[in-house]
Amino acid sequence: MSAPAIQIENLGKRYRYGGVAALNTSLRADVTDWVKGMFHKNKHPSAVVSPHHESFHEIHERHVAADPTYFWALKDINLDIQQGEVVGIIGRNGAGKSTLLKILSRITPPTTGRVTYRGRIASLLEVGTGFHRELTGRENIFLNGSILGMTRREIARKFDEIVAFAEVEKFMDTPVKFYSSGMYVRLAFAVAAHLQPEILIVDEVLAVGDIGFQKKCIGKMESVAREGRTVLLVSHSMGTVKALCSKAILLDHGTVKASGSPDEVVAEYLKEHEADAAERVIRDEDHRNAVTKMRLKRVRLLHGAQNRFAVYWQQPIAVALEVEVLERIERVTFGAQILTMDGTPVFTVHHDDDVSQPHWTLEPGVYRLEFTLQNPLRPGLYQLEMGADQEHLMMTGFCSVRVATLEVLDHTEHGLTPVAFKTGVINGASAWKQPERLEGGK
Amino acid sequence: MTITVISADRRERWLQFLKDLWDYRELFQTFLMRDIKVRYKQTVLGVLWVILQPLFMSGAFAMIFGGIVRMPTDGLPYTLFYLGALVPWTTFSSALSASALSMEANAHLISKIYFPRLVAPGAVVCTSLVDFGIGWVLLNGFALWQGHWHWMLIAITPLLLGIQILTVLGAGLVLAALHAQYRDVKHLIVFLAQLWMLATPVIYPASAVPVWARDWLFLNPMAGVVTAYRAALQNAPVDWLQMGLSLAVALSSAIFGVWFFRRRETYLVDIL
Repeated sequence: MSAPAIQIENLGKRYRYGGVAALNTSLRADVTDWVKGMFHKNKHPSAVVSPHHESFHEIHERHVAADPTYFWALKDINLDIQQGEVVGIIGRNGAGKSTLLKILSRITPPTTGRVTYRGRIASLLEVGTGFHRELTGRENIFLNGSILGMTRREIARKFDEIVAFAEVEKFMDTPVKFYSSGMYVRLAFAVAAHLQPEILIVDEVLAVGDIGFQKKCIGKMESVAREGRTVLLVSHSMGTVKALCSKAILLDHGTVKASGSPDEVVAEYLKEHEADAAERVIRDEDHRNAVTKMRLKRVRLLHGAQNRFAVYWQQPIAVALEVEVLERIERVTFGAQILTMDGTPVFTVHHDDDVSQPHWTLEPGVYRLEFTLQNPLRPGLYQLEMGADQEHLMMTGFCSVRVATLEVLDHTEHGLTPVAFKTGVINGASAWKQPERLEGGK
Repeated sequence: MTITVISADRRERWLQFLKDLWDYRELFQTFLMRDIKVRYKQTVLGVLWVILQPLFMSGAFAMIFGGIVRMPTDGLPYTLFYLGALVPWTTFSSALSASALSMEANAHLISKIYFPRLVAPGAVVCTSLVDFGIGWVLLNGFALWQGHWHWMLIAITPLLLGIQILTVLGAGLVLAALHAQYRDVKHLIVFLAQLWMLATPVIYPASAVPVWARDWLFLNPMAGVVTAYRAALQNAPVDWLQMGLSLAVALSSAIFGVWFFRRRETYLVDIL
C-alpha cells in the first residue's frame, strides 16, 4: 500500500482553561508574574532540587503538568488516512474535532507529536475569507485564490470559469463593496469551488453562510471525493456522515474512541448520547452562519422533566429563547425543526404557518421568544434546531442553530408508558372500525 | 507531491518554516499588491499625500527650528536639511507602526488560514518602499533645485535603504508579536516612535551631539541613515565605520526580530 495521505503520530494539543481570558493579555500582569518569579528564585535558590540539571523546557513541563488550569484538548492521536478516503469526524462539542482540524490546517501548532501529509490541504471555512472591500472583483479573485493556496497561474487559467460560475462578468472591475450580498457570496464561493487541493477539510459546524451555501459545500465535497482526493469532514449530522463518508472517527475528550465503518461508529456515538440540560447557553460557535443580524443567546425548556432537556411522552415541548437582534429586521420568520439524531428532519414549523399572525419587525435589542410544539414523538433522542429568515428567502437565512438535544421520555408524568413494541419516529394516530362480517365461512 | 510536516518539535518546525517561506512567496506578493492597491486606491490624493506630508513637515520644521531656534545645519538650507531626514524617517516610523499592527489587521485571516505569519509584517514593510520611492524622488528633485544634488545621494541609497528596512523589520516584528498578546503595545508604539525620533538626529544635526554621546547615538541605525543622507547632500565624505556599525546593528536587530517573532508566532492564534 502506498504511503497514507495523512499520517498522524502521537498528536496532542494542550490548552489553558478559559482560553484567551485566562492568559495574561495585559502587559502589567505578565510583568508582575515575571518579577514575582525572579524574587522567588532569589529567595529559594534550592527550591528546585533535581537529580540532573533540568532544562528550562523540563521545568516548564513539570509546572504545566501540575497546573490544573491546563488541559489536553487532544491527546495521543494516531491515525492514518489513506488517499481517496472520505473521513467523517464526529463527537460531542468539546471532543476535540475542531482542534484537530485546526492543527491539520496549520492554524494552531500541536503541543506533541507530528502530522505528515502529502499534497496541499485546503479548507472551506468561510465564504470570502480575505476579500477586501476596496478591491475589485478581479483583484479579489486573485487575492482570495492565493490566500486559499492557488498559484497565480492556476487562478489565471481558471479565471474565466470562476467568473462565469459566479455570474458577475459585468462587475469584474467594480469594487466588491458595491456588490449585492448575493453577488458577493457567489463570487466567493466560485473561487473556493475551483480549488483543487489533494486534501479538503470541511468543518460543517464552521462552514457558515446560508443553507444554499452549505449544500454547495457538500456538493463540492462529493465531487472532490469522486476525483479520488481525500476529504475530512467534521459534522453534527450523522446522516451526512453515513451518506458521504467511507470511514468515521469518533472523538471523545480528545482521544479516538472509535474508528472504522461509518455505520458502526455512528451507532457507537448515538449509544452514549444524552439530552442536554434544561437550560443552555448558546454560543456564537453553535450558529451555523456568521452572526450578523441576530444571535440566539440562551434556550430553556419550560416544564422540562428531571431538569434536563427532556419531556414526558406526549407532553408538548414549550421552549423559551433569548434572542439578541443586532440590526433592524423586517418581516422576520422564525422556524423550528425536530430531527432524528442521524439528521433526518421529522417536522418543521414556522411562526407564520398560522397566516393570521401579523408580520413581525424587530428593532435591535434583546427579546424573549416563546413557542410550544405539539409532541407526536416516540421516546428517544432528537435534535431541536431553530432558524430565522426574512420572509422565507432562503438566500438570506441569517440564523440557523442546533439548539439542543431533546429527549422524549418513555413514560408520562403519571407513569403511563406507550406500547413498547411500536416502531417509528412519531406516534401514529388512527381510527379503526371493528371488522364487519360480510360473508359466512364454510 | 509536496510533503508537509506539522510537528511539535522545534527543529522540524524551522525546516518547514524555511520551506514555507519559499512556497508562500506568491502570497507575499499578493499581500504586497493588496496593501499597495488599497493604499493608493484614490490614486491622485494618495500619492499627493505622500509628497505633501514630508514637504509640509520640512517646511514647518524649517520655520520653527530655522526661523526661531536657529538650529545649526552644517551649511544645508533648512528645508533641504529637514527633507533629507524626514523622507527616510516618516517612511520608517509609518512602516514601524503598520508592521506592529499587521497581525491584528490580518487577525481574520490568521485565525482561519495558514501562511507563514512573517508574510504579513514583511509585506507591510515592503509596501512602505513605495512611499519611500516617491519621497526619494521628491528629495532628489528638491536637492537639484537647491543646487545641492550629488551623485553620492543615489549611490548610497541602496545601502541606507537596506539598513532602514532591516531595522524596521527587527523592531516591527518584535512589536507585532508583542502586540498580538498585549494590546498595551498600541499605545506604546506612538510613544516609542516619538522617542525614537528624538534619539535620531532628525531635528538637530549629529554634529550638535556632544562627542561622548556620539558613539552611543550611532548604535541607533536610523541615526546613521539620516546623517548619511545629509552628508551626501552636503557632498561631505560618508563615515564608513559609522555605516558599518549601523548595518551591523540593523542586521542583528532583524535576526533577533525574526527569531523572536518565530518563537511567538506559533501560539499567536491561540491568543489573537
